[in-house]
Amino acid sequence: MTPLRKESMAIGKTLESSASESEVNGSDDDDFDDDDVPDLASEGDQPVSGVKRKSHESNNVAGAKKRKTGDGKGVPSADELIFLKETENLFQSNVFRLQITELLNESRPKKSYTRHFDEWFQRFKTFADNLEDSKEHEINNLKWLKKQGIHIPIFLPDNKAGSFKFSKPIRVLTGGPFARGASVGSPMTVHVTMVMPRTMFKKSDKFDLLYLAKRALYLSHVAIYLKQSDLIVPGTDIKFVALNGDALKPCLVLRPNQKTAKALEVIVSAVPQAGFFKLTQFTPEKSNITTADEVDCTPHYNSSICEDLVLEENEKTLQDAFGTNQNLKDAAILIAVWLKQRSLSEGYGSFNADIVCHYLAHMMKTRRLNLSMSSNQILRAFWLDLSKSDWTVDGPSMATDTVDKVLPSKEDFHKSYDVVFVDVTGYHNLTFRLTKSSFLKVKRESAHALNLLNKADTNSFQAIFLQNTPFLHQYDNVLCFHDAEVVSRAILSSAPRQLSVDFCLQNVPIFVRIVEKLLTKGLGDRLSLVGIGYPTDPRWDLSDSPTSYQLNGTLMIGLKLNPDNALSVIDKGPSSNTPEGDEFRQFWGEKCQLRRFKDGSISESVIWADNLTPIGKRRQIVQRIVAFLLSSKIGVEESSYSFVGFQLSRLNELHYAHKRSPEESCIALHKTFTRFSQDLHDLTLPLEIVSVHCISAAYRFTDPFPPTKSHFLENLDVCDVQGHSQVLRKDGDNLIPPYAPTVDLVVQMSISGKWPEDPKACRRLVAAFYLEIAKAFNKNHLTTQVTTDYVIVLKEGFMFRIFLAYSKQIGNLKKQINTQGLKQYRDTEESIAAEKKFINLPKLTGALYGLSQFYLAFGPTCVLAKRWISSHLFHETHFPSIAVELLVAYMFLTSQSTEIAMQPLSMFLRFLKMMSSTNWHVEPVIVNFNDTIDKETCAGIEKFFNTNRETLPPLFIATPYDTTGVLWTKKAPSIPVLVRLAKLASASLRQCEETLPLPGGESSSILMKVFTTPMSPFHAVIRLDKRVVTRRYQAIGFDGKMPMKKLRTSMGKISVHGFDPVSKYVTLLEENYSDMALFFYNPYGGDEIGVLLKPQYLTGTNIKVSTFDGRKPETADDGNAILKPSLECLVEGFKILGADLVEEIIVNSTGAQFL
Amino acid sequence: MGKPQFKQVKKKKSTVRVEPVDSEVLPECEGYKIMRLKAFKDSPTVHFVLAKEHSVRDKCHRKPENRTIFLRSLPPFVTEESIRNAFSQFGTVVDVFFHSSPSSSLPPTNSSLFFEDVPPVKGFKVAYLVFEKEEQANRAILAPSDVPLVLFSEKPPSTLNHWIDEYNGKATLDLDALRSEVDSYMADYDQSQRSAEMSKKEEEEEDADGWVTVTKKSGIPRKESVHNKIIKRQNNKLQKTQLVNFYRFQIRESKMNHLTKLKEKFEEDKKRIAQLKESRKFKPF
Repeated sequence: MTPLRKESMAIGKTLESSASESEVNGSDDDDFDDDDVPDLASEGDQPVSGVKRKSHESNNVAGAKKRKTGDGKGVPSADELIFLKETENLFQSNVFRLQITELLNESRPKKSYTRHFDEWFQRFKTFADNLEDSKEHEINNLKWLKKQGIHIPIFLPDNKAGSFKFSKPIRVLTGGPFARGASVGSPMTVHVTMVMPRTMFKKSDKFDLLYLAKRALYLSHVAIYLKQSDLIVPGTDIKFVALNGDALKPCLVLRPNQKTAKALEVIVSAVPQAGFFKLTQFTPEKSNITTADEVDCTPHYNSSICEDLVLEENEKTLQDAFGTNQNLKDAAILIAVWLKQRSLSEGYGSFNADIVCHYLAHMMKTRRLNLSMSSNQILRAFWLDLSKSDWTVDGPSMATDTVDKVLPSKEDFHKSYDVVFVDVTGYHNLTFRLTKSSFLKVKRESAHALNLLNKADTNSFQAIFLQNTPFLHQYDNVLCFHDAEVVSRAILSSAPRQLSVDFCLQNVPIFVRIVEKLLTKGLGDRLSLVGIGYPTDPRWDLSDSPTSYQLNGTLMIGLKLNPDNALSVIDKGPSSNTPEGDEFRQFWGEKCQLRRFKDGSISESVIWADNLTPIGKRRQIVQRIVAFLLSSKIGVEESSYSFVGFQLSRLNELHYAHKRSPEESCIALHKTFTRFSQDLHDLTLPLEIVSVHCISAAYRFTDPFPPTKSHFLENLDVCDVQGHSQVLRKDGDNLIPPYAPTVDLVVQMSISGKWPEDPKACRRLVAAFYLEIAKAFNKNHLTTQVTTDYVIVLKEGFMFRIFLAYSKQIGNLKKQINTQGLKQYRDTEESIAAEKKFINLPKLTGALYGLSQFYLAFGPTCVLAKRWISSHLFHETHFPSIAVELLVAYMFLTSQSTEIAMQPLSMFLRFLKMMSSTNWHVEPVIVNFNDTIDKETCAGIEKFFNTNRETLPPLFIATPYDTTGVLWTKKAPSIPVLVRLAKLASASLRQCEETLPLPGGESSSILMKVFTTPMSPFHAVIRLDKRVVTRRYQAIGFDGKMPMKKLRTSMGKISVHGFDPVSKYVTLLEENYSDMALFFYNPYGGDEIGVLLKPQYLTGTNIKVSTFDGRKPETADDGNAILKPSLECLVEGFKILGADLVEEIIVNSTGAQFL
Repeated sequence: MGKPQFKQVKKKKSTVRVEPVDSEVLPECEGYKIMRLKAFKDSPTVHFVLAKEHSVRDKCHRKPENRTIFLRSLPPFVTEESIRNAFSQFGTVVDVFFHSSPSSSLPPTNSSLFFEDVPPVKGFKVAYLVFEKEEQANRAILAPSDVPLVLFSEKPPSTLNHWIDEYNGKATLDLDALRSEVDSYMADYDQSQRSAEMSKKEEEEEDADGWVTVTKKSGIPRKESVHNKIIKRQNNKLQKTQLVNFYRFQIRESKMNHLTKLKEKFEEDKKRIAQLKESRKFKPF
């Protein structure tokens, strides 16, 4: 409500109460879309409408008070109190309620739309009324139609005996969700239905598509006149559309009104007058197709006719149920939004708004909903009900049994259809188009939505209603079919006659049913769900032949795997010499083997890989099974479709080394670490070791290139040996060995009071401890290397780098003595760094390791995310890798619109989506491991975030171990980095989503483009000498092999480790030129460094000492001397600092465009 | 120099504009003289630095005022050797001290063979050049600024080789030497600690004039946390003496406060929604 109106209200109240009341109530209706929350609430919720008036009356008394308190402070007024109370009872929280209100405001059809449509509908009615009867035409002679430039929108039956004579509709109806005020989407669709007079039909029209042909002709005839009328927006065309993807029931689609051209779309269909065809003739067990005698029932054909017959009655039922119940309408809108975000309400066999409305009406009827429920409660009840019921076994029914009518039994329905929901007449199955899996998917999504609702954290609302989840993001693997030819060939070869006849040759539904059945059977318990992504409803011009029978667009079949079984290498079947065993053998053919198992049983089984296969390869077993099934059972070869899921798996392999993947190395590391940690504990040292923690990313399974047991053979050629260590050689050409990482450990010593207070002295003491540790390990015949900062121990090929932590360290670094002589502890740069390394990182490593064990996809997703970010040249300085891991962890832990997938690719797509669409300025990241942070603390963190936003880092990440949220991201990433990443992410996501469904093997190589970045955003590019890039083998384009060999277990030589001149050089540049420029490079084998000058450096200044660094004096246009930035000075500096490293430096002549 | 054509173009442009400045005497900058440096003899790039006679209030005998010149805005790659090289034409350079900012004292040095207690100076830096004789320093400061001084007479030192040496040194430490250095350092440290303690104790004893220094020894450590704890305890005591929710007006007030809080929370939530709305969060499609 505008302040002005509030003002006038208050004045009105004090003047004359009765007059003001009427004014208030009058104005209320106009204010439907306004933002004033208390008013809206009473508008939205019927039960309180009684209270509404009362509250306004009490307003009269409290009018003055309300004005005073309207500014958000002080005691709430009466109706605010009522509102708060209501929120408490009917909704979860303020925020949730407000969010629902906002969403509804955005989604409800606007008042003006209804007005415009009503006006158009009146004109349409007159138009329909003025249509003239036509001559009688033979159905097999359609010249009259062709003359008008219209092609009949369905395929005619072979025996086209019959005649068509148009007569004007006896009635025109509006229906569908729009009429009930529960339509969503843009454009919104409005259904207009013409009722065809019974005189047009004969009883025999129910056979062999004759009725459907007449219906199509009827619409075509109307289209002739509609084309010439002023009922469509000039410049737009009327088209045929296969509504719900059903080719048998084409409709007309048009844009009704200039003003709503973009927002509204009218769908015109036709139904026969009620009472002419008997409903009993369309029960599922009857056959109405006479041309195929061998088929004894045609349930789907029957249903598609029956749907028209019962339409009027069903509309009436819904109209009765919805009527004026605004909450029910709101709930229907919310559910429609929810379904649409998951694309569950599109295509043939979708769970569309009609089914939702019917089910809501059904729940009303069975008293599971009542009139006083808020939209939120209805939602909850709806999801609860859906997640508990199974329509594939025991579907609901709206029909009431009466004595004089014998309705078909539910069993009959279940025999003929996958999913059953009987309408109010008792003859029609509302869900006849649904397949089993489409219902199971909706059921599962309901359970998930309910979960999110119960979780009720800040993101759950977003996850349920606002996040659009494309099909590719929802499943582990997706099969994409494009080629209509492939589909129709598969159907010709392997579709049962029954299906082809029943679906009257509609390719898509038949194909879906075959494939769904095949995959469900073949994948068995590897699979938890199949999902179907139908192409959008086909539309075609009036003059074209229908495109709806063939596949038109992309058909996607998603596989949601069962993480427990999907990776198993063997499918154990029934034992042999049983009927089941024979059937199993027949199904799998040559793949089937007889195997003896450990428990002694001998069974038929299929072996897909041996036991030593790495996890990365095991993930791909599913692909092999699917390929086998499709090619052997329905003759679809792998080249004719695209299998989405492993296009990026190359990045999750150590492709330069034979048969290794990062995961295997990490597992090996864990095993060695356990033994090594025991070794450490067993040492006899002056001070006992209390704990040993690993802080390397490999321990968390998130390192793209983890340390391995084996070492590069190349080292032997290019390194010298001195004592127990390999050392670098200075002469020669190809001399720097490849980069080898270490495993970093943090070792905590027991508490002792003897540590000195001086950090310098402590460093010496720690070094002395390193010497002791090395000595002790040498006794155990392990090779060691001591430096002043750490000691390296070689155990089973891994180089463990040990850092000692002692009790007083952080305290010593923090200690200050203030002016009053009081000892204080304050954070310093060094103390924070030490605390991070010795306290926070070990904790976080533990938590992330746990996550990687719980979610199989976590590690590989982190790897992809890290490689993506680093391939766009954001290294540690710009985006700490631990922050990447935390963001991925956040994605796994926070409310997600759909369940977590187990294949990394779809999780990576979701990561890109998160990076591109999240506004980090308003959204705090709270990584809640194991739900350790309770709701109050969470709310506290959010409040802290909101009140201190300006002082907090651009990316705020709180964890249970650091609720301040600044620890990991205080210095980076900066806002420009986040903005650039968001742009890159949306471009990458678009590229992925376009490329992934492409058939054949190319998509993988095209996708690698997502991992390359242009060098144009930078002012200068430093090209490095390839020789010094010791991590060159980690680059994405690297194809060669790097032979590796295991070391002898004891007393091997310690390889050259951690020697990375590129990162050293970048650090050097950053340390020296941090005031002038930023440096960007790809740590994984990048050989170019991008230089971006800072804006404050690029501006010219007066000649001052403070700004003289790196600038040159020049005469400005006005003759005064000023300081100008001097890129050539910097460039020469880079060259001299990088002597022997830099090949050349290229200055970008066009200027940088970073953002 | 790099080969790209653009560099050449830019060069031309800058020569056109800078030429008049080149021939003139360069402007002064807050009392500093602007000097030209070149990395190599044939390098086209000129680096500008500031120079001045060294004169400060706090004296340091290693930086004698009349013989020392003060340079600032030196590029990061300038080494001690190169700066000696550049200024040797004016006379013998005795000492070069680098700092990250002007300082009258001497830069701290690393005394240990193994431990780097003082990190090297990073970024653009300042330097103090001490000449052998006064007139050499004068000559240096009065030299015409249009001829750039050349820093490196040959190739600059290889960074890669430096790092290789560093790595090899680390990988093959002389452990015995390290041990003995640590031992001696710790012995010295203990010694100094002990003597500090002794001197403290001595203070407490009667001095020559018969005075005794008395320090308060309450047994409570002088720490901020302890201090805070004491204050907190006092506050708690004070609160216990007050009656809460006893009088009717207090009860009424607390109820009111509760309601106000409820409303405040609501307003906060509303604000958050408005914020979300701003970022067009509620457009579902």
